[in-house]
Amino acid sequence: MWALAQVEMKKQLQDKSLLFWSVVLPIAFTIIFMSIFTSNIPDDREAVINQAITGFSIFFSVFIIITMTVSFVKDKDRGFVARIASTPLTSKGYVTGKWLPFIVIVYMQLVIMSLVGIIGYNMTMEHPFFYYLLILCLAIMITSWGVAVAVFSKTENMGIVVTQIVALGGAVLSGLWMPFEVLPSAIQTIGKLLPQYWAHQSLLYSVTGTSNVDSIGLTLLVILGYTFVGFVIAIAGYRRFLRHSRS
Amino acid sequence: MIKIQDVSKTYGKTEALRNIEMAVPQGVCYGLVGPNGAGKSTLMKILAGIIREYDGSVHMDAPSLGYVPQEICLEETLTAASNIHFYGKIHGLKGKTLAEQSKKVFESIGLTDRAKSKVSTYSGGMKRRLNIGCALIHEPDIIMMDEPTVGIDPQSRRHIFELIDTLKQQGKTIIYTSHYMEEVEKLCDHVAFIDHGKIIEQGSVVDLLKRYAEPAVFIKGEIPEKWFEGIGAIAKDGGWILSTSRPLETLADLSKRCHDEGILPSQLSLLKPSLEDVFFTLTGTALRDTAA
Repeated sequence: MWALAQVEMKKQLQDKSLLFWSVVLPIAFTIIFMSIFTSNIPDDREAVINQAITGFSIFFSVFIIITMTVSFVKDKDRGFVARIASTPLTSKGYVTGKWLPFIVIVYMQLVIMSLVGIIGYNMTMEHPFFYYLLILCLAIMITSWGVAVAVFSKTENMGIVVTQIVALGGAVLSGLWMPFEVLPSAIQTIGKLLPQYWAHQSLLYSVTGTSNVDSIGLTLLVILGYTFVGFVIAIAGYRRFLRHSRS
Repeated sequence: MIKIQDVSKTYGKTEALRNIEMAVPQGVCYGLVGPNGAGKSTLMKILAGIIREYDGSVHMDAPSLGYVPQEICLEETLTAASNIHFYGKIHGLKGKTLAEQSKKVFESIGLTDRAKSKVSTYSGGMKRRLNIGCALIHEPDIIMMDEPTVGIDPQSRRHIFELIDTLKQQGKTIIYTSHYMEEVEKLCDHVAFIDHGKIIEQGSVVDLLKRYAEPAVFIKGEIPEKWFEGIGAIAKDGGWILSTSRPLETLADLSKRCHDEGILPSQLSLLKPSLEDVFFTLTGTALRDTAA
């Protein structure tokens, strides 16, 4: 399992496109966002950076699902999964070995985004422990969805489509791009069902000390629940994934 | 010893394998031969433990096996050494043992000087050799090779043949699939012919050649057609093939007759019986025709 995790990590770190959209692009978006929205209202600079860093962190972290899908589908198509099945590495070992590097990658992405806020825009954190605990749980949740989408995807394109829906839908409904309070009430009602909303509000709470959600425990429970859902779907699809890989 | 008893496998309504019975003695190279879609790869995947849902049973005495799939499944962006090390690690090798084994494998596949190169810089033949190397890192007792020479250059093919000879000398059991009959004939001691999911015949290569293929004589030139009427000769490549149990006598007779009648044949030669002939005798079709 560790050998596979090592190889996967090495492979992903060599992928310049992953570096671009997981680190460069969110930072570029943050800079653009800040320059547009703080030029006329410098007094709200702090609120804008808090919104941008927390919102873009969650929004861009979802795109790891595409990379995960590409990786799993390639393994299936080039016979790697079948070959692994002839070795002592178990199915559980395979999935865990593939999954762990992506948790690390997303966590690092979220840490880098927080450092951009702190170093680049003097973002202050009221509860740093909660912040870094939350982004760890978020990384686990997003990547559990990644495994779920990957094992159900026949092609890489399917993963891309699902990711767009999850990322863009989640961003609009959960207030990742603009303050949740300004969204129409119908959208707010739907948004409250999504983990992105809970994660975002709790990240805002960790940064500012106030938000719509001031119970980190409740948010962790929601994230845990959605992680569980991700794994149930992944387990349900994995047998099918193996069958398609082996024949 | 590998013992396969009454193994059948279906995909939906398609029967991929039907009642396969086979016994592979230890230390032999066993060829599985048949056209594309005959069931060779399915049987190979069952033996390698990749397909686990099937009817019947498979018993193996030796605990460790190495599987070389038909597809080249290597991490192209990593070095050849990283690929080999990966397979070593998942078989529990580490440290000095892994380094020594890795060195041995690179020597055996003739890629020592390219071990640190990225796989993406390799030629197709080199990738095939590395693909085999990944299955040898843990020194398995049984090695399964599924069409390991598809689409490679002559140099790599020769390397693979030499490697298989070395593995045979080391007493490894090798199961080898191919639809190149001449490869199987050259490398394997035993062979099983598979067609439409069934084993149509199996045995030692020597026995099968004796039982199903006769030697023959080939003659080409301006020879009167009436010479060959009613004796079962087959017209081929502008000449005639005469199957015979007494090839030397037939060759001498034809040579004398040509001399007596003042005919100079452009070709007069002995034809060695081949597995291709065995397959033709058993199925009534040439393997090349069915594979196409």
